Amino acid sequence: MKYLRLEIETDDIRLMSNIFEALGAIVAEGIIIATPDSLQASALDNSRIAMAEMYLPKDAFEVFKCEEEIEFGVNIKDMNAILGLASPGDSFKLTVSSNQIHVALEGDAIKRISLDLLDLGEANRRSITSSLPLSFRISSKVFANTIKAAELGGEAIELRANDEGVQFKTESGSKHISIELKKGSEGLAEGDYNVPEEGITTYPFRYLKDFAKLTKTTEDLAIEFATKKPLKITYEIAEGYIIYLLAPRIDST
Amino acid sequence: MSNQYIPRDKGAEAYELLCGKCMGFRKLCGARICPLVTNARKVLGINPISDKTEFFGASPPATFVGTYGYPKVFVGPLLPPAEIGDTSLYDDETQWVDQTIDELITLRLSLLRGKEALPVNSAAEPPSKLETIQELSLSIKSVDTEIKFSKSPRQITFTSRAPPSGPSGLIEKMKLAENPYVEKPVERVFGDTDLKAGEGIVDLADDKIPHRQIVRMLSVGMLGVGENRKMVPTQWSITAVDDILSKDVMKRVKTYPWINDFYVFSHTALGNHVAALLIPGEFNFEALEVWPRGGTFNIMQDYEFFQGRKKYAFTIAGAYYATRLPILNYLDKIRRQATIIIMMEIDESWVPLGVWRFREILKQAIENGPAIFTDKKDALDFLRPKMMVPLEAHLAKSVIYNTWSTQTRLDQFFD
Repeated sequence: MKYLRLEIETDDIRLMSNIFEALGAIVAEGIIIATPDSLQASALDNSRIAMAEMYLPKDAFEVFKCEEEIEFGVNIKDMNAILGLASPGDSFKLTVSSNQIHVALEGDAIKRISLDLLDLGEANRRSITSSLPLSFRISSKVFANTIKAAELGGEAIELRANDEGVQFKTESGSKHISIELKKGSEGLAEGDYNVPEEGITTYPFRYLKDFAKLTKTTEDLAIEFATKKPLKITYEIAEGYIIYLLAPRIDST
Repeated sequence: MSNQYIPRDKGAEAYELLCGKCMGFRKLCGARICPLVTNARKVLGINPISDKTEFFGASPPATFVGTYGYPKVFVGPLLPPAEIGDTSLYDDETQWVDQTIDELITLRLSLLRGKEALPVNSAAEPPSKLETIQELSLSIKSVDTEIKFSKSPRQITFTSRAPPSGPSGLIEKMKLAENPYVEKPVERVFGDTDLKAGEGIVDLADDKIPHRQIVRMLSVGMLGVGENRKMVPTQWSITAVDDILSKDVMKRVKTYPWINDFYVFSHTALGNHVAALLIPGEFNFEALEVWPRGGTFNIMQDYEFFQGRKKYAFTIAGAYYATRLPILNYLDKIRRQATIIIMMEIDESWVPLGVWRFREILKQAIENGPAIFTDKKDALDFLRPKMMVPLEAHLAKSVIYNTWSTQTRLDQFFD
């Protein structure tokens, strides 16, 4: 039997689907880092505009065996296709040997799929260091509805936050769309609202649509940003997190 | 101005603008026969030919499958009557860029077009006339062909994407007077009835089979899994081949490093100017098209970001796919990726010739070689005097340019 470098099991198939869906929104192929204590990934998209970071502690899994830190390259698209084969209630088992990933989906039937590991160079371990002093928590439902409404607009979306609340604005031709959320409203809890100064920044909309897919997994999410700085969206999942980062648009004229 | 129907009573000015958007194929005015095409016919003095019904000539080879009546379509060969030997010039778009519009129209309108009405799915088990047309389509060289029309041929064919052709008529009899010359890859792909059409198209291109022959084979139903083989109208086949080949090349191009400088390509021919501006960045593509008329212009566009398009490029249509392919082939050759803005400008001498002209003019621009600049301003200064419409108008309209100009990258914020 080949030497197993990582072995994980979970009954929460949705957790694995969410992880790979989140990474798949950014890259088609990615590097996963397993340490004795956690599973991590950081994927920067080809345009270097968007990024996903994932961290799941070993406690997020029923079984987690990893003796030393390893990095392995995975075809994320294939993993999403494999996870699409799972039936409700299936458990998920993943092992990594010297040159392959083996996935088993176990329920009424046992589906076993093996994939070759990819040589993708070194994992990205860089992240933004800029401080993002404006932060708030927004209900996932409200955020998903906001993104859905903004789809009527154009390629860019402006985010403005001040003492009164948050506004998303976008336009396309003759269409002008504005979504306003008052601080302290049901979707924008006052206790977590930390906006010491007004911030306005424009971001590319097309990524936010993908970022909003995880809203179905959590009650709420955290947003951090600042004027002319990246946007950071954090979903807290299974005692870990998935973070999305998005570079701003800055008009230099 | 939106893509909406304008009633005829709204005046000439509205029509001028509408024609500039429609260019004879978007059918925006609702007229059954495009006024531009009608005008082209008058200007060119196109008349029916003689009352003869039997003709002999070397087909370049060329075939045409129309859209009218789909899924029952007219399919048939094209041949120049009484000409034998190498007639490839009649159908070889790669030789046309240096012709004048008059020469080209004369050339194409001297091609007779035979027609047989058949359901598109008859390609899976072709009846005898279609089998002969398919046999002709296999050939890389001109094939002597005899054709007998049921009546003397009439009516020319102008379409948006395919080159025009001359008088047409229903085929009574058709026969190849010599064996077609078939290249091995063509024979192999045609004979492989388990190979999907898309894979067959890529295989043929990899084996250097000319674009027009791949289009011809797709259109007369010679590609794809045996029982699913269908004819595809020529103008759809052109775009399908452009799109399938682009997507294949794009997979590689998206993995290459970015260009470091600004590249400008430009060429003018056949009343059209095509310019390409390549900017350091990930693969993004935009095609802008404008037809200035009477001092007014309306720039149209379609674009895609790195993630690609999910919908057909309805605004620019075939020209979008026809220009995306050669610029991707260029990037594949230099093993770089870039953000690409294609600007197509059409002067008032325009007649509907097909989207090949944009592909071939851009290929010629690429052949001429890029002007390379380290500074964006120098690249734009170089391009500006070549444009029919102010460059700033194109750039102001361009979603990709404006995104590129304002979009920061995350690594700017890394430690």
